[in-house]
Amino acid sequence: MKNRMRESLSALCDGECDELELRRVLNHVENDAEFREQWANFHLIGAAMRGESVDTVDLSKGIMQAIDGEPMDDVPGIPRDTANSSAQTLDEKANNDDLPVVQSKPMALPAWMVSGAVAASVTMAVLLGARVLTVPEANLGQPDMAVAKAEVSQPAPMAEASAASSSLVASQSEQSQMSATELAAAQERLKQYVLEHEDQSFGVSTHQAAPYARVANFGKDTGIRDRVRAEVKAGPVAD
Amino acid sequence: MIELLNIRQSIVILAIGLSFTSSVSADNDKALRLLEEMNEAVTTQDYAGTVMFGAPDRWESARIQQAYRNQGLVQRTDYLTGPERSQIRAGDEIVCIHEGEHRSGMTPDILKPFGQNFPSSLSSLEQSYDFALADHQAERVAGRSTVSIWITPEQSDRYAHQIWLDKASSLPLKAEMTDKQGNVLRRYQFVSLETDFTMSDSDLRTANVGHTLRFGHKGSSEIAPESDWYPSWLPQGFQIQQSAKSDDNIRMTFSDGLASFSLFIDRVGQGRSSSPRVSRQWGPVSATVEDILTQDGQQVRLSVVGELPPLTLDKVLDSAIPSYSLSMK
Repeated sequence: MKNRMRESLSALCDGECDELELRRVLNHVENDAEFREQWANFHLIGAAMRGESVDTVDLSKGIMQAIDGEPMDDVPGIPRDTANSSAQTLDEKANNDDLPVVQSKPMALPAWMVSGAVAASVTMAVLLGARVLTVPEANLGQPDMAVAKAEVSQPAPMAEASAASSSLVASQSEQSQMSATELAAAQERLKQYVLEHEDQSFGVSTHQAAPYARVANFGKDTGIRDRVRAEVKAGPVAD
Repeated sequence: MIELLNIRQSIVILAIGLSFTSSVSADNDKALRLLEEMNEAVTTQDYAGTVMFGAPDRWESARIQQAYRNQGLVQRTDYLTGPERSQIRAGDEIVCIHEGEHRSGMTPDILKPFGQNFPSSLSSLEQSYDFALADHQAERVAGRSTVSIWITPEQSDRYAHQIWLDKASSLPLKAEMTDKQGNVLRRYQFVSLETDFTMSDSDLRTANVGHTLRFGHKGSSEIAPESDWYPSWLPQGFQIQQSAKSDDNIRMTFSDGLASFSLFIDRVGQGRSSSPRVSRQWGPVSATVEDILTQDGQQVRLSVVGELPPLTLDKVLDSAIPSYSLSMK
């Protein structure tokens, strides 16, 4: 069994495992510390072989929070498939904008990570049980690893930005509660914006107080409920 | 002999190529002409019909009546699913009839973008979209035969549309918005339609009931392109539609005539931390949000919302962030 799991794990790291296999690995990862260690090692080896710089900061705390708190009803960050394609458009981005987009080496994400077939939350669960390679500092400008970016960019003030990434993780955990409620508030506002956009693209100017003032009278006049109902009911003309 | 054959072959290929291009451009011209006729119809034709609309996994329905009067077009929409509500649009005013407070987005534009807001001139659309007749076999919609047109973007930074026009009246009976994989993100489809219809005066029972919404003044923007927060990059053909500005809030809506997005900029408070960029997609609508810190320590939230692929919104958001705050990351 152990050998078989090891094979699956290896396949997973190489991006060669299918969704069923991934789920099996996930179940195992949750309960087995040794297995988690192995997963991290496989990644380290893979990264070293690809000549990528490696850094072994434990991101699991922040990811745990993201899953437990999960204030957005979707996983924060760019969807994996989008993130993948955004790497392709980096060059284009740099050409189009005068902005100093941080150019970076495209990350070799395993196929399962960028495949839309596997839910992003499942990806998160894999990260949860593992020591993850952080994105090198220079990669922060791009949304490839949205989670990692979230971690490190939390304490944004400049003075701290240059600090060692391990201390960044520590200070992140102090702030984690606050950012969960902030994210929830941000989500609420975003929903409102989606609706406002609907009106604005229709041409309605929603940024005005007048309609709200008039609607406020609705509650006071009890008779109006029946009138509205009659009005709406009578609306469509009989064919 | 071989050379001769080659020349012959090239001539044949050339001829095929030529006839193909000319038929493509004829196709294109015909599609454009049909769209102009559609535009005329949606702004002048009297009709009443029942329409289903929404994302494919969730249908809503509504009844639309429209009549052209001396004073202009009057359109009444009664939403048949969800809370009871109606909307009457006449000239520059929209009257909403419903219980309780008005909420944004409660009376959506069902025929968007092929209703009354369809651009009166197609020339700007031609820069960003290709037009073609979809097929030659007629599909029936609401019991009427139709002609269908594909509207595909030149670049994959926005979505494609297919519409089915009533052959008799040129009204847009059905429309689908699709992503580049061909998934339908939003659609509407008439179930029934009558065109020999006139709206009686009594159908405008708006006195004492309902409340008005005013149209924003299209094209009149308070925000100059040079000002802070104005995105330095816009997808091809997009122009500002309306904008509003207060002490701690700026909003701008941009459109290319078919697709639109809004950029919201809010002062969130004294800067404590910046937040990760968060993106979401709900069927046709995507949104992306990021908090940044300004030079004077203010925390500012940028949100971009619109019927565009998330990647496009991302680029807009990137370009709206002032360069000094990028250096702070």
